[in-house]
Amino acid sequence: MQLLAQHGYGNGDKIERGLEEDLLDGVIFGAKDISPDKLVSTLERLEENQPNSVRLFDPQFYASLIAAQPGARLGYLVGEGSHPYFEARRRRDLERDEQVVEDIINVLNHQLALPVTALIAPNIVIRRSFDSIEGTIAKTFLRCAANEVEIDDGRPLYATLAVSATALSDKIEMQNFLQEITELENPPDGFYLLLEKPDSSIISPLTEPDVLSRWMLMSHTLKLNGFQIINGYTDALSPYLAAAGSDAVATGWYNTQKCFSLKKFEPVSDFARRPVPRYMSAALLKSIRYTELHDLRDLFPEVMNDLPQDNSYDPDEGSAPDSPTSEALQNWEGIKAMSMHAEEGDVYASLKNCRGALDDAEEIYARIQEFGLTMRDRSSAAHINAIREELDAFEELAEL
Amino acid sequence: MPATPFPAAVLSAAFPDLSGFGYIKSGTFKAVHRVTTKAGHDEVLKIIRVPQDSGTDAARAFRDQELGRVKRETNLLADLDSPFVVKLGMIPPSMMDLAGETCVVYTEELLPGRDLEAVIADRIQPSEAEINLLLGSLVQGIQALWIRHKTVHRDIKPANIFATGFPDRPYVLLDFGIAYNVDEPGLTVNPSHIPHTPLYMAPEMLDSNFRESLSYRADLYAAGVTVFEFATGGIHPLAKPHDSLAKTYTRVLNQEPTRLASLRPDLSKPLSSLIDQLMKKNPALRPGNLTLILNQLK
Repeated sequence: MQLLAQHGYGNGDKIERGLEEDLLDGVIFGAKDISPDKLVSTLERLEENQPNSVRLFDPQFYASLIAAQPGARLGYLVGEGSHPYFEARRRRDLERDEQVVEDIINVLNHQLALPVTALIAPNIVIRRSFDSIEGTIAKTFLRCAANEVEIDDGRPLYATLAVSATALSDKIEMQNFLQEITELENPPDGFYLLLEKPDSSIISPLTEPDVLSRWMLMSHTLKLNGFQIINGYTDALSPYLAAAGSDAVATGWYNTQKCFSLKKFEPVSDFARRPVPRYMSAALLKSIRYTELHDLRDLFPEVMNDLPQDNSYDPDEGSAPDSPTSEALQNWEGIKAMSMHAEEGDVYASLKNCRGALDDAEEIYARIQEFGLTMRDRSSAAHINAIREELDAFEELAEL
Repeated sequence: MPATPFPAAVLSAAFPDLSGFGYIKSGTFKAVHRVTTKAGHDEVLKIIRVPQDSGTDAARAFRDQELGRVKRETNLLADLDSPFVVKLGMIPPSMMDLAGETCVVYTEELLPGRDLEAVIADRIQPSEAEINLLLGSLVQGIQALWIRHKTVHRDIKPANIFATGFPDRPYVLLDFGIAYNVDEPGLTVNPSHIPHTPLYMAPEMLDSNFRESLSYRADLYAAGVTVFEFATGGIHPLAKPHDSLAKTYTRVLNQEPTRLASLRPDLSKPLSSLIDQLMKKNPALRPGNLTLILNQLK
């Protein structure tokens, strides 16, 4: 399984360092946050310096339905010097097959000229339900993705499949949808799967029932039907998606790159505070604040990963990361460690590893609590039982 | 109750270019005879009694249903060009009067060998290569039906599969009487009646809205059950002997099938896993890429 950077605002040297230090296998560039010229030069540089890296471009076409909103934050998707394929769309526009086909052609032709290692076809987010007009439009994008543009250089095509947590709540419609898209006459080579968390909370969907299990089911179902799967914005959920068969997972450095939401394109409704730097603990299966790390590391050294990026969290400096880049690198390092431990070749063994890791994490949290240390909600053990239940639910859904 | 076969004298008079008329079997409306053509080819003569039109709407609708099924079956066989599907014979479908009864008659090729039900009754556990051959033949037959005709067989089971012994068409699918084209209107008069064989029917067929999402995956399920029985020398993955019909349906809907590896640990894991996967309740979990399946079996 590969770990990719989910590119976004404020890259700096994070991705290059991540690739150089073998923490990353590649990158998914987001159209909003990189100009067309910079995208080309960065891709060319990576192609030269990191020829084996995975280099992908997410056209972020799903923002087209938001683009007409006053105040929409679209970055390089619109305006002077923007990516040429992107335009605002209304839902009624995309109810016409001709418009969907035109957009697919524009997006893929744009990518054909880029030194990317695979192409990502556009789609919208299914926000309400699979059994909705959005679901029908999404299916049209999927059905047409591989039909319209000839890719004769052997590069694979991934179709975007973006679904909200709300849409996942209808299990029957989800299963019907999966049946249909795994019977396409001319299917893509794979899917770029995104789970949208509609609300603006920075907390990732670790504790919501039926979300992780159904995301895993989608990955698992598509994988056993022969598709390559890239799951975007996975962050701490990466090990479970790896267990479900994902070929690649992706995460970034800001919360907007760790959890997918269309909120980042919508007009600003409130102002986010700069988050407190965190440390991704493979043992706890979660990131904790650097201040919590500082309190714990001597009493409970097992919360540290014992990996190279730990050196960036100097206890003499209060265990704060020495730079935002170091924090990003450490996050990737921790996620890579968690995911490698989870993945075992078949889903049964992988789930067993995941459960073992949850048991170990629970034990550490219990000892921390016995010692009288309290952790903030976002760092607490609440995810452990929630994920256990989701793994059970996934097993049942996948008929394992 | 099986249809009474026509006397040989009646058949000889009706088919002067055929001889033999050895009785093979009967269904409710269908009788099957072995015949020899003037050219010396052995074929299977199928005689389907058309239900009488007693003048009521129901009788007329039922007659139309049965006639429609025969026409659909024979049109499909005429158009299908797959070695894994039985071929029509010299006599094309036609209506005729036999001893005062209206019948549809036609011939199919006579295949050497015997049906898979008889093979399984020998209770011999086949080799992995033989299992591969059966599954590969069924998948190719299912593929031929679906790719060009968007048709689901709906009655794949050992009794409808012939083991020929031919290296290039070792197993052949028979009996397309309830085959269903998802792009055409249904023929069944009573929409709540679902033609099927309970032990082999896919769980989604029990949903009254099955026609909305029915696809070749229902055939893959039946193929999985059939191959499981073949591989285990006759053990059904779900049913127990003497189960009532209600119990069978309950098992089909809710019970997890026995894993093939538990009964045939000698088989390779990929093959066992594939057969198990074909029997998943959720159609999306049955591998849908037929080419990938066939590549795996090579």
